Amino acid sequence: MAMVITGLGTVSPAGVGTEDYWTALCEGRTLIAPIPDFDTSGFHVRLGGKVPGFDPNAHLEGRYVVQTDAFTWFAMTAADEALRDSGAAADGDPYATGVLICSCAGGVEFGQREIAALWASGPGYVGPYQSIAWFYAASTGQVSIRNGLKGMCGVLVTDEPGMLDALGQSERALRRGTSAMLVGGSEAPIGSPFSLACQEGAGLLSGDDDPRSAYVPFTERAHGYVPAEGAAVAVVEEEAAARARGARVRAVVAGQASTFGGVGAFDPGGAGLLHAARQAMERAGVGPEDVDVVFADAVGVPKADADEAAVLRQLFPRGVAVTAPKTGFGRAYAGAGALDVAAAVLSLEHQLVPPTPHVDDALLGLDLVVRVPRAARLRTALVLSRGLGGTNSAVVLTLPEHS
Amino acid sequence: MPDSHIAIEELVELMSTRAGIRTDAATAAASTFEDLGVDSLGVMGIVAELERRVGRKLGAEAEAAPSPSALVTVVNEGGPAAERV
Amino acid sequence: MRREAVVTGVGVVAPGAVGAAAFWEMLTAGRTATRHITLFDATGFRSRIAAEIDFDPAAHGLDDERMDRYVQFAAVAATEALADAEPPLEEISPWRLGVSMGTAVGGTTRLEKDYVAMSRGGADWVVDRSAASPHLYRALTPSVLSGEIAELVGARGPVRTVSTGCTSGLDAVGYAAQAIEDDLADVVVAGAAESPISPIAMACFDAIKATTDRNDDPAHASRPFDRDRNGFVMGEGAAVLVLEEAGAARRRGARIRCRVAGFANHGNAYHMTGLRREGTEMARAITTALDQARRPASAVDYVNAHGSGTVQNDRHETDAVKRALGDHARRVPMSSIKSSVGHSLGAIGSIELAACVMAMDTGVVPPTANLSTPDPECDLDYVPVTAREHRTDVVLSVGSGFGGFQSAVVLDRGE
Repeated sequence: MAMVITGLGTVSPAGVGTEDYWTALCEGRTLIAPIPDFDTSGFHVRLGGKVPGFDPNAHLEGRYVVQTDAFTWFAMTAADEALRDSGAAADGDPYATGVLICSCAGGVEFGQREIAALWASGPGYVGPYQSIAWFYAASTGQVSIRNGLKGMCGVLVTDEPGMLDALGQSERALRRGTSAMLVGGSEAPIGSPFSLACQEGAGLLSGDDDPRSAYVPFTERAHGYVPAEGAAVAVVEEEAAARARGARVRAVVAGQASTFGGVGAFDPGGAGLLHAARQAMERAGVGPEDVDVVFADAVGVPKADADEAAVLRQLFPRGVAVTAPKTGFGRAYAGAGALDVAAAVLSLEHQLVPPTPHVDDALLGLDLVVRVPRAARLRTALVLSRGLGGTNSAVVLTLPEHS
Repeated sequence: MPDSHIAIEELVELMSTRAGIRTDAATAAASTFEDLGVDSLGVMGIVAELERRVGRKLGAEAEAAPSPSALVTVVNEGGPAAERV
Repeated sequence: MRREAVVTGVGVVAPGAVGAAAFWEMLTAGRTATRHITLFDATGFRSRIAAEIDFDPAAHGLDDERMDRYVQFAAVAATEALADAEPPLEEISPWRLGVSMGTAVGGTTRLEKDYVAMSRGGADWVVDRSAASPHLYRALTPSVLSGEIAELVGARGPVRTVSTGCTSGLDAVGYAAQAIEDDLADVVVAGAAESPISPIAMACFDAIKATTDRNDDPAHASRPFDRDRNGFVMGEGAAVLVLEEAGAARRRGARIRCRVAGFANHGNAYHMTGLRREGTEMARAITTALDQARRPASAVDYVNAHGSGTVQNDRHETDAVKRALGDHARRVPMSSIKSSVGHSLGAIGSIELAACVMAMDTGVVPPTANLSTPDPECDLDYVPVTAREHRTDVVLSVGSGFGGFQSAVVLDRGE
């Protein structure tokens, strides 16, 4: 069975919409800036990748705005674009389409407001929406409700790789009778001081105040990552069905695999990431010579960068173009893997590898695309992702046949 | 001592802030919550805020009120379900 | 040859009973573990009762600082399940060993505790991060749940946390079976865990009056399908099942408890907490799961209900089961163990599956405790009060969760 992407939607630090996202990636734009929402002077990290000027009322009905957290606003908004883009009929069989939108932090900002009300004023001050806004399943639930989608509905919490794992899980669903899946990852982890405090404990965030040097993976100056918010959602369906309804096939999801590398570190040694990549390539039926570009995980933590670089050297002894466009805007947890998948699809479509902003002296023997986008014949992209909880995931995307 | 009475205009405001539904007093007075798109959780949030404003429990009767007008009546006429906080 | 997943081991940490045997004894004796909340001072809360576990992490050799309470439950349940199944871990490639664990709210309890410390009791929006516990970051994301279990068993294959609210425990096991069927893994440790008895979790269910306020009678407060029920009782706990590829399990002479024969979940696309009375989507999940199992509705011997004890749920579910099973719905016993162990949100689906496995093992179906006067709108055979001897070969377990999730799992003895 071939699974294809027929719709794409993004909300990113470049703004709402996939076109603006792609333009910013190609320009290598700096989208990292001081976190604007609160006084960060007591925090180790003070920079973030914020979705600029996002007004939920411009995209969503008022009732959804009040009852959900920003991570769900982003998911609903990206889902709208993906559905529009896919051209799927809105009045089809509701059971034909499922939803699987991942998050790893949930609605923390909403949650902080409600816990504050509880502790400052008392139990009667917690509002009725707390029960549905904070939990990790809020985005899948609301996207299902808002769009009338009753197919297989799920939520995976595997940190950054969420979307990659969701693509794998979607294949399980398509094999079992669901026709299409709306899959993605969405996160809004920098709007709340509490959320930021939770992230800081892991000791992986960059303490730099210069957006141009704060998140520079694969370099000698690497010292952590900058957190970001954002979402990407894709519509996936079985290729024959997509073609039969005349859908534009944007990319083929040719293979996916996940492994585990240990809690609390990014796959020490890299064996897990290597295995995931090899399995995904095997499932896709591609060898190292077929892969034209790799979207790297690029945590920005020296040990993790070195491990990933070693994996890439081992996988591609003759070299491969590597990029990490997220260095321009930060790492959006479950949104990170999703935005990388979106970037890979766009890259295949435009036959252009976007650069890795702020990094121009990559060591570690990588052919990192820097400064300017690189035009190349691109048929196959590999996306890699790791999470602090231990999941490593890889997805192979290929250009559809007609292109 | 909080004012124990409310007007429909207050509900219009609360429907906006608590349930995200914008409407006007005339429409609110002539519609059910369902017509307006205010769901059961929205009504619960509105009732909880009203209880704080009027300083007494309004009880299940208020949460079951089918429309803004019915809710105004429950609040203003008290009724057996209403008790002092 | 179609690959199938079978259950070869069970572990349970439930209110009133740590360990599968004690859990089963409690359920079949019709005892309840609901009581006044002791885990925090619930004065001022609408619902002040819960089904709590008397649990000492040190007695299980667990690190109380690093592991949240829900992860501790999972670790104990997984250890029991592995000892029960004895899968030949040394012969299985770690890449073929997976973990699939569900939870709805994950580390909320620790998040809240640290938040209170960092915000001076909710006073400061900009929290003082230096007051956080060193492991706070582990509470933010429940990927650590499946990760810790993966560390415990040495898994390096697909490891994921599933978080679909109150159907997480069914979905995690369903996904695990799919991973085996689709040749991604040969053994998957699957289950769910939750420890939600905290002020914020109790308060948010207070706010929507989903929990019962029968505070003067905790032992009889969880009354699914009873005329006098008025909400669920919060619970906590974990259950873990060991799933293996059927052929390999048979070859090694494992004690095969049952097959995970069918699984489906659907969104109701209606409301985050509300349910349409007709139960169409849950019925559809049941039908799909039975189709996957290649079982007619009439083959179902026992239905393990979601049975949360809210008026809305009990009627929705009754209608869904009637819709899916037709006339057979009136003949098949259907009970809710939430009457005994409360509703542990994401964990309960796996705890219920553990009960289903034990029902198949023992030829007994557990009762719905406290069901003295059925709601006239709920007119099925809910096995009131007393356990019943009843041979069970095909079991259906259903769940329903915030977000609109409706799930069904079918267990059977294989073809």
